[in-house]
Parts: sequence; C-alpha cells; structure tokens
Amino acid sequence: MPKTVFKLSDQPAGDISFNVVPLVDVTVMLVMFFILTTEVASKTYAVLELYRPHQSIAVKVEKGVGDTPNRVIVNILSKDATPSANRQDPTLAAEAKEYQIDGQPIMIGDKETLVRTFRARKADAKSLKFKEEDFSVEIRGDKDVNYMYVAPILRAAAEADIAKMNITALQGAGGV
Amino acid sequence: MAAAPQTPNGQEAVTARSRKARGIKYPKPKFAPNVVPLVDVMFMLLLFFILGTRFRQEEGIIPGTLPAIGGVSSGGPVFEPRMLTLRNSGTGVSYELQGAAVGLSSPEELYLQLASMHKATAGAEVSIIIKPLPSVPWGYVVEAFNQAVRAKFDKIGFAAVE
Repeated sequence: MPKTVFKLSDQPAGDISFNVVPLVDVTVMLVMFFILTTEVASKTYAVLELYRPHQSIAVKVEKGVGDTPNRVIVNILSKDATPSANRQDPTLAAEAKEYQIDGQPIMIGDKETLVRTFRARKADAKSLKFKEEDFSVEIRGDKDVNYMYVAPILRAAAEADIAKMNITALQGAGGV
Repeated sequence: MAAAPQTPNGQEAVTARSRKARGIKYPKPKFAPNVVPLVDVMFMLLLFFILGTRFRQEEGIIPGTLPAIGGVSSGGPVFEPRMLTLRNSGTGVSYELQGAAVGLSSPEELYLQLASMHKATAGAEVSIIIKPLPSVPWGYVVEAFNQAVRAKFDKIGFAAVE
C-alpha cells in the first residue's frame, strides 16, 4: 500500500486569511445608502416631525442655500425631540420648545421679535427686487404641537402685512 | 547547514526552501494592501449612521391665500365665509361646520363635505375660516387646510385664538 504524503502549506499552521473584499463592498454600499438617505439639519430646515395629510397636495420646493429670499420659514419645534413613533408623553410633545428662523431661536410667544424679523426679511426681499405682495411666511411646525403655539405666528404675519402663508407638509397619500 | 525537514515517514517535506532549492519559481507576490484600518473606519461610519440616522422624507408646501379675517390678510372682498371648527376630542379631533357638529370619521369625509359645500356656492368666490381650538394638534390643522385647498376653496383663513 503506497504511503500518503501530505503536502503542507508554506504558511505556519493557524494563519487563516479571509477574503474581505465582499465585506468591504457591502459596507461601502451601506455607508453610501445612509449618507444619501439621512436627513441633515440645516439652518433653514430644522429636523422635526412633519405631518402627512390624506391625499397631500403639498408641492415640492427645492431646498438649498439661499433659496428663500422671498419667504421666511418659521420652524416650530416640539419639546419632545424624539421621532413621533418613539414619543411616550403626548403632553410633552404638544408643547412647543421654540421657534426657529434660519437657525435663530425665538422664544415662544415673542411676537415682537417675530414681527421685527418678518419686516426685516420682507425689506431684504424688496431690496432684491422681489414683489412685496409675493412675500410669504411658511409655517413648518411639528405635527404634535398645539395650535396655540402656531397662532402667534399668524398674528405676527398679519402685523407685518404679509399676504401669503404656506404650510409645510409631507408629500404622498398619508392621512390619520 | 540545517537538515531539510522530514515527514514522519522519513521523506523530505515539501517546503518553500525545498522548492527554491529545486528551482521551482513562485508567482510574484500580489499587491495586498492592509484593509484592516479601512474596514475599521467603515464599520465606525456604519455604526454612526445606523444609530444616528433619520430618514429624509419628501416635503412640500401647501399654498394658501388668506382672507382678512382672524389673522393673516390679503385684502379683497370676503363673501359669506364658512367656518370650520376643530375641537380636540382626546383621541383625535371633532369637526363643526357653520357651528353644527358633523360626524366625520376620516379626512376623506371632511374633503367630501367641504367639496359639496364649495359646489353649492355655484362658483362664487367663497372663503373658509379654519378655527382650531388652542389644544388641537397642528397635524389636524394641516389636515383641514389640505382638504380645504383640495376642495378648491380660494381663500382660507385662520381664526384667532381666543
């Protein structure tokens, strides 16, 4: 019976090598996916929970730096900053934390500052040759915040003689 | 010179040195960069995104032209404004149209109600005033605004909070 001779590897025993190329491929793909789909907070658009109405007729507006000379966007942030699915306390979520215009926080109920800001932005838009009657205020509020925190913005807009008001909402079918 | 290694059976083991001695040529070593730091960084980035991500959602604006009632004004005549009152019912919201409670169980029913109301005006310019009570969540106000615009009301206003 012939004797079997085993050919041993040149490498020392126990030196196992993995092919990590597919692992790196998949990881890079995942990182790219997250980079592209992550919502990044900007000064103009704060991260908050927007509402998606039933058969939403919201019209898409392009976001970008300096894209809002003829409108002022007022963000209304909830005291509960967690995503709506994880919100435990409806009372906390119903309370507004602050308003934000271009990253500038404004205290809740500070109508004077709102009016002053609206007038200043309106004057800026006018100096950039925009029609005064086209200037609009855009309300971008957290869906769980009570209306009592939104109403001062409407009053401030009225005082600043702003004719148009838009409401930010999510697009799509949605509904309660 | 050290003796060549042998197998347990006394034969000469095939090793790199023995191959070299026999003139067997190896293929040139491939370029193999150390990918361990790359994998480390990638995993760190992945972990960061998995834990910190909030998916971007498509948002837009619902355009509104507002009458000179209760809040923001755009001037112009107002013809028989309709009043839609929103009350917080604890689990949701209840609606009142022209002061009368209406049992609406879905936003689609609200839309149909508003659309029939608008149709009844026979093309006259009619405005609607949404009057949410202070404790109504903003989402329901957006819903009412959306359905009013969908029902083709030209001017939509908000009543001031009392």
